[in-house]
Amino acid sequence: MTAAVFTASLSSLFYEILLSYFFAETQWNNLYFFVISISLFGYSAGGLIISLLAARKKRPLSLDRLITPGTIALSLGIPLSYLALNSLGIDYFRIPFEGELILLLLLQYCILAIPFTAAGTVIAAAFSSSRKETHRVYAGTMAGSAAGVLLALGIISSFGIPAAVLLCAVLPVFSRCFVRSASFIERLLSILASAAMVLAFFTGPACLRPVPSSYKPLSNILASRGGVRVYTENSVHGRVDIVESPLLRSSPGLSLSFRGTIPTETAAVLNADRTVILYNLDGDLSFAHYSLPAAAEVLGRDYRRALIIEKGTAAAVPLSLAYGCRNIDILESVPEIAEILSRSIKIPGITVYTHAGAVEDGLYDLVFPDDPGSTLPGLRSLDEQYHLTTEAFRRYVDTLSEEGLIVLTRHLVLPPTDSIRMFRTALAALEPGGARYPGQHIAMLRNWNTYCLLISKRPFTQDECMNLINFAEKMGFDMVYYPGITDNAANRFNVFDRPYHYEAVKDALAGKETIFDTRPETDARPYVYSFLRLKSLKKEAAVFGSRTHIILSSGDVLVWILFAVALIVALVFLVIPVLFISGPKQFLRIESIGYFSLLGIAFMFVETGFIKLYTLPTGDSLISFSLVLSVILIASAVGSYTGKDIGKKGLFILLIILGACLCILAFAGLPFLHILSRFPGVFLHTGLVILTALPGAVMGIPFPAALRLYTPLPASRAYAWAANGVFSVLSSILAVPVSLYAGIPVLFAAAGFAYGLAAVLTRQLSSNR
Amino acid sequence: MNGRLPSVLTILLLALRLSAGGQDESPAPDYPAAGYETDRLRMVNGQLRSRGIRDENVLKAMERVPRHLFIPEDLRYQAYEDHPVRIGEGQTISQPYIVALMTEALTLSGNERILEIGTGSGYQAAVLAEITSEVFSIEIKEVLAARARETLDSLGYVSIITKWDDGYFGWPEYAPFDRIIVTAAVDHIPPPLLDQLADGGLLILPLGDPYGYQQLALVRKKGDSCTVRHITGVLFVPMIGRAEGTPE
Repeated sequence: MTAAVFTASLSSLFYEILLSYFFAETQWNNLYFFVISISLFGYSAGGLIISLLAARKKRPLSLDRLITPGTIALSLGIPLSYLALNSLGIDYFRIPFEGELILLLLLQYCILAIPFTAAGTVIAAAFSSSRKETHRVYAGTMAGSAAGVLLALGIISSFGIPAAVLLCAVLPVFSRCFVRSASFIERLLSILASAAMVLAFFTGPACLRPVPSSYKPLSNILASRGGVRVYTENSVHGRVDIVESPLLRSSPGLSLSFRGTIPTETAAVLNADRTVILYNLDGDLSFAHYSLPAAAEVLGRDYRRALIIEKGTAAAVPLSLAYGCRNIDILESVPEIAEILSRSIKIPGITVYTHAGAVEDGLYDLVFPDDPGSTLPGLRSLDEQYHLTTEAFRRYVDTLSEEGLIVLTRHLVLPPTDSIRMFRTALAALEPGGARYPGQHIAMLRNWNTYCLLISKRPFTQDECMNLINFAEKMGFDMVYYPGITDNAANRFNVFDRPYHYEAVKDALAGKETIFDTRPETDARPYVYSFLRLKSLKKEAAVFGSRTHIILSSGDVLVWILFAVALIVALVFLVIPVLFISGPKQFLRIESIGYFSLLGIAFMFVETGFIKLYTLPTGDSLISFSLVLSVILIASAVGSYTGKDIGKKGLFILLIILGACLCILAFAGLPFLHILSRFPGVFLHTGLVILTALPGAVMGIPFPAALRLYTPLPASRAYAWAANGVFSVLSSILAVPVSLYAGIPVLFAAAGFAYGLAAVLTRQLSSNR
Repeated sequence: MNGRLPSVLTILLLALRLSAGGQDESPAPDYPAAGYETDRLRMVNGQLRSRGIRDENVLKAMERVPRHLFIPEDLRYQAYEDHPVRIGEGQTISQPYIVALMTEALTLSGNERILEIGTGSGYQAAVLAEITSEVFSIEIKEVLAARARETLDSLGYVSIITKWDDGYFGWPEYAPFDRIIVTAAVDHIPPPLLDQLADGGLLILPLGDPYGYQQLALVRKKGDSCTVRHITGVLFVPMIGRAEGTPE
């Protein structure tokens, strides 16, 4: 039984990770919170099935007979639901303004939940079958889940998603060959099914290849004439495609007066999205002198050493070279992209690093946070962007030499949002560094679709401002801000109805409140693309007029739609058991439901909180998702096993201590991560594992302990499982808006509070018995 | 559990209908010509005047040009509705308001030489020809170029000069142009078009992400420099050919 539970957990977690990689490749976000919600919904559905079966029969059911059909359903459900997902091809960010897609989303949610429901049935059947083995089954579940995460990472990064789908599907059914109680026919069918999938594994069927949204950059590049994929490689960070196309000619903020050519035609595309241009650096780089960042060049400072914080197109590499830098350090957190950049750039003096520890303070004349941003900023509002927070800007300022300059070049959007947030972030970052008048250290220019923010370590001089004005005049750029700017200096060459950006900057300097949220973001709330304020949604919609799609395509809206879908499903699964279960409802005690629901909420808030926090040191939410999931589940497994004899009093004390520790983590987590981030990879990852494992191990105890102590009937245990799952479904999505609006530490504080409340409920449960 | 079955079936049926192409494709009703005229007047007053189009030349031109004849027969009933309409080959005829807005922004007096990039259905060229005498238009899709030529000839717009070519490179033989209008989205201003624009001339185009949203931008050339005025946000089909990377 434990073996079946182990395999079912392994495959379902494998599939969970796989789906997240699938979404990263096909959509605009890896949607891990949505995947978690679907999987937990499936588990709760499985728990519900067992609950109903156990409650409706007069004689005790031999629930272990459901394990074989559950395993087969899991093996079939994985490839079939994946095929449905791939062929439905929903673009998630079109959902808010194409109503009919919500129905498809609901359908997709249910289809994707099928394999998880099968796994949930297997696990819940095992739980309900034997009360004595609860801890063993729980340990089997958690260990299988952790193994599933590790196997998923290995297979996806080595063979890609199609092969991973097949392997993930074959494992549960193949494991039946080794079960002693299995019949000959069962074993034969298992072998045949496994053989068919192994055959498909090597043929790599095209129908299993993920199809990216047609709006993603890779789709556009390949759809263009001359666009070809040179080769593809898989990695733990997702798929990397090397492509060639004459469409690839990135040059941030190029002047209309430039008449030459841009030497670019090859790019590395990560997850069909982030496009890293591999410039031919031996070619003509004259375009760099006609770009907005050339404003740095005309200041007349001596630039020798540059630091590029690479999160975008690598456009800063030719710019740094053109502006005279001969020592260029590139900090690229994705090792595969770093490797490709290293191979592509063969110029002495340029070094690519993957770890922030390589950067030294006070060394660099130019710092480029290289991230072009988005033309539809809301599209990225769910992504953690730790490299554009106030703390990040402070670090960039610290790395500058006395004459140093930060150059940030990004898409210009209307109404002014991103540019104003970056301006305010610069102000906030300069203040604690001793800048008496931070505004004296900042200048901003723009053209029709790009802006460039210059942040100087020392104040700009009058001569430098004059140079900027002349440069803008020559290139047809507009000054948005420089120390001493006057009204008539703005909005001259790229003319809007009003000088919107200039006015917004003036308001920012005066500390005025804006319709959109353009406050500087911090590491506690690193959502730099989130501009919507719920309280002024009407005003915001009015600003966009008929272009409401700009608001609707925001991740802020999408997450509430996903929550609504999960809420409908959760309500159905809470109400139905009450309608269908007849007889005494002794297992429907409110304290019991409340306790297991609180555990679900708390566990998911902590898990999501860790995933979001660890995106800071790992630089990739896919990695932090996989890391947290595997560590927290292994730790929970260990915790559940070691805490198998805990008594009622012990459980109460443990819950109180856990709640208190999580509240401390809410305050101390980020500072600790900042310290940890300075250490090299091995130490960093070890630190992350320990930080996750400690609370993870303790969090593994309350669920099985309460099952043992407070749920005497099989049906009550299955129902506890279902209640826990349903609230986990909701809180896995709810954690996203909570972190978006209140900050990531709030997740830990809320989880701490939930564990405290659960402790109080155990008192109630004890006294009622 | 049985209670869930009907709702699941409903969702399945809806999904099947959607995946089979749930858009309204009802056949064109048999519509009298007088009805189109009424629709056209309603369009001019309801969609153009009411939204602030003030140039009487533009309003009269759009009152005169029979827009429905530039649209495939089966979609003619949508001709005067407030949205773009498909014309085949993955292209569209722009929403009437956008045609009016772009034409008005060109501030035509009647003596200008105009180059249009993206003939499409030929409707925009016909509107321009109602206001000014020298209209040149380039279309990259052979089928559309031929069909537009046929429609324009049948309606008597013989003075409009058209050709099937890549508009990215303009039409140097007839340059300089006083006005250039680009009716497909492009992420940069094609340098050949700027070169062929007369000093003091105007170029209007949807500038921005060809696969996302763009800004309708009016470029004024002054010697070697330019100013760009942003008019409004728009959504055009991408410019193809050299603009999307076809080698020269």
